[in-house]
Amino acid sequence: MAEPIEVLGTAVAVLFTLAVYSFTYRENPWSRLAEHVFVGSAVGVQIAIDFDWLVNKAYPEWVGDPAKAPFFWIAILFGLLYYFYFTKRYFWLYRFPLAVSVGTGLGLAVSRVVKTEFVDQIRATAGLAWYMPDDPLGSFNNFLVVISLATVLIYFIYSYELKGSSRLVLTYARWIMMAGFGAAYGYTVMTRMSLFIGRCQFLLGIPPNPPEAKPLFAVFAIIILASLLGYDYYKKMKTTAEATATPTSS
Amino acid sequence: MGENEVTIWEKLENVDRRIIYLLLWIVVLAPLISPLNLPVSISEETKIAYQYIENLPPGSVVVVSLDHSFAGMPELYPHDVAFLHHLFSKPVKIVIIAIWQEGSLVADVALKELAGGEDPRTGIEKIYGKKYGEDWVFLGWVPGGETGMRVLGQDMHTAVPADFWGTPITEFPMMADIKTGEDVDLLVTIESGTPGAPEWIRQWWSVYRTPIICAIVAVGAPELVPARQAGQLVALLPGVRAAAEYEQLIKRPGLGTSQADALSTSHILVIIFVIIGNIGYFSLKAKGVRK
Amino acid sequence: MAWYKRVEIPIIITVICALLQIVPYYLDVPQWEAVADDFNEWSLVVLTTALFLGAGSLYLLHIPRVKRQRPGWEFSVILLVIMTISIIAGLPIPQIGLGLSNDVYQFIYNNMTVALSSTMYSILAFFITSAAYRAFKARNIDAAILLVSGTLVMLGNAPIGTATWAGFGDIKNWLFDVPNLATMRAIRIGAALGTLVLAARTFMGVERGYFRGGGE
Repeated sequence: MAEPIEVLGTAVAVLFTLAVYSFTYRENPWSRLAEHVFVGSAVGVQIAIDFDWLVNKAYPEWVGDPAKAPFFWIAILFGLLYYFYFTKRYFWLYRFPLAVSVGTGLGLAVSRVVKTEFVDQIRATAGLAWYMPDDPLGSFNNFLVVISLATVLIYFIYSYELKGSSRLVLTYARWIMMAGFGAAYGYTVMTRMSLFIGRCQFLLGIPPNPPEAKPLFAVFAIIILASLLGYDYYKKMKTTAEATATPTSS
Repeated sequence: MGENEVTIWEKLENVDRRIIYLLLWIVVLAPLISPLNLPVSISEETKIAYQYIENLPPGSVVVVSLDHSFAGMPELYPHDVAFLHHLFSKPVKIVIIAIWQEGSLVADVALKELAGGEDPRTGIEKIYGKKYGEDWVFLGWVPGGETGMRVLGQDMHTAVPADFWGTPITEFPMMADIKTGEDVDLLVTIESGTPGAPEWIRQWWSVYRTPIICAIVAVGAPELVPARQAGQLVALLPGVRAAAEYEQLIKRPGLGTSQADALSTSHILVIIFVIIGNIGYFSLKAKGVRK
Repeated sequence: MAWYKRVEIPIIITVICALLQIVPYYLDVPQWEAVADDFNEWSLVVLTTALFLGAGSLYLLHIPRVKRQRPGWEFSVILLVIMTISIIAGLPIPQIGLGLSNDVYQFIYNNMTVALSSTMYSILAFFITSAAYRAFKARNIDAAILLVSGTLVMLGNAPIGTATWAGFGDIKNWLFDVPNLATMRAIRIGAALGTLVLAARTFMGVERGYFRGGGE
């Protein structure tokens, strides 16, 4: 038997889940409540996690070493310059720690992107075998990949207009991209459906989700639907009554 | 039929979208309440990942990185549990980390499930015979994203000075020989976005040539196909379908398998809507209604 | 404008920090690499110090809304209360029971943050379904190819599809391994070129949008 606080927690989770889904009916106070709670809790939780790392992981590791300790405090003081973001007069100070973060991240990415995203990709394409007597379909597929890659790159990179029969290259590239994006769309559908199915498993209390979610799902669904449908019906009746009561002007 | 009569296709074109949403609720809830037990065929890619782990020599070091949040759990939690179960069943050393903050909390949930609800440090030993600190460790969140990955590869003891529960890393016997990316024989990343596999490829595969198995949310899989084809990934397992397949291979049906029926019905619903929408479009076009 | 306020100084810092990471990758200079690694770890602490920026922005946005009782101010109150409670409950002061294992923090995290973030991602399933019905039409050859490709992949992904006919799985794999590979590889190569161009523009000081703000 679950503890009362666990049941309360499950009730809160079910309520907010259904409140978000009520947005599909129309925007309403339930969905706005869920949005605001989400933003507030997400930001608060993230701050707690970051603060915990700073105090419980970074601080002991840096300050525990006398040679590194001064650099930790320099990092903290330097990082505090971020908060000048909120000022107009001293906003320029915010740019310094931002420059360090952007520069370090950019350097890490750029140093490796040439090899992994460019050289390795081209090398892998060039290494595709076009003639494999034991695997004619594989040979054809490899040939198709190389031709398709070249035409799609032409489609993206070349900035002068292709005319006449060279437009066939662009047409083929477009068709290949459409086929590729269609495949990507199919996987997108699977992701979104999986996420929705996962929430439904929670609402139905399917293990390892708490079983008390199932009756709470029914109760809150009825409450939210009744409030939305009831309010819409009330508004409709009110509008009809007002329309009937208002005399028509000639 | 007169020209001004509203055809069924015009009616269908204007159906309230809330009817569509209601149908989606029905086709997803129904198979979850009453499973259909439709078969799930196993793809070659899943078999490759499974066999790679099966063929790991005893004593191999495997890093499992849970690079996703709670939001990605429906698709990736089945992978988390399946991979951890498979690895705990093999004579390998396992280092569990997370590059995403929430990933460490997801890992805690998964480990507790595998430990039968107990503290994982004792429960895993009871069930799998793997001693904490000697056969596996859970180091928790490695901050810094791609920078953190780089630091982890250079010096794990600096990147994560203590485990998830605060015990200094130096107290674990197995970590005496596991210090850098060179000491790792396999990296399994279960990820849902950035930082994820591309960053691991940049910081680990390109530097240490560490083999990487990647389980990813389905929507992210198409972008990683080039990496897979270039040999930067050993295997690419997209979405919950691959998780259901893996659960079959390790003979441990779980959340992935239970999603399979609802996945089928929801996909069929989308396909039916696409077909109906296009039949309507073409019939109205033939009628000359479509402008 | 005073010289220390000029945006060129942060740009130079950006370039120095970037080169600090780039050079050791291409040149074997052990001392440089050691400095770069230490700087990496140091920059993590700097970055984490910005943890209150998000909360500060929200306070600045919602407190005036509450004071002036703008429409929806009641929701702003709820947002501020929840955020403040979760920050305080999660403060790393275990001596007074606060921290990540605090009961209030765990309650908010498990039953609000996790539930809401999962649900927010999943709501797109509804919109994808209605978009498939209303917008996914074969208006021309390009759209027809997109539609057929998407439908075949969906049939390959759905277990019932491959259970009905194994060929759907083969077609799905072909679409994944040939057109999708070519497209995504071209996009990655293009994106890599774009990254290099962006880096070059940043180093030359042409790209400075991320430094904008403060009314300047």
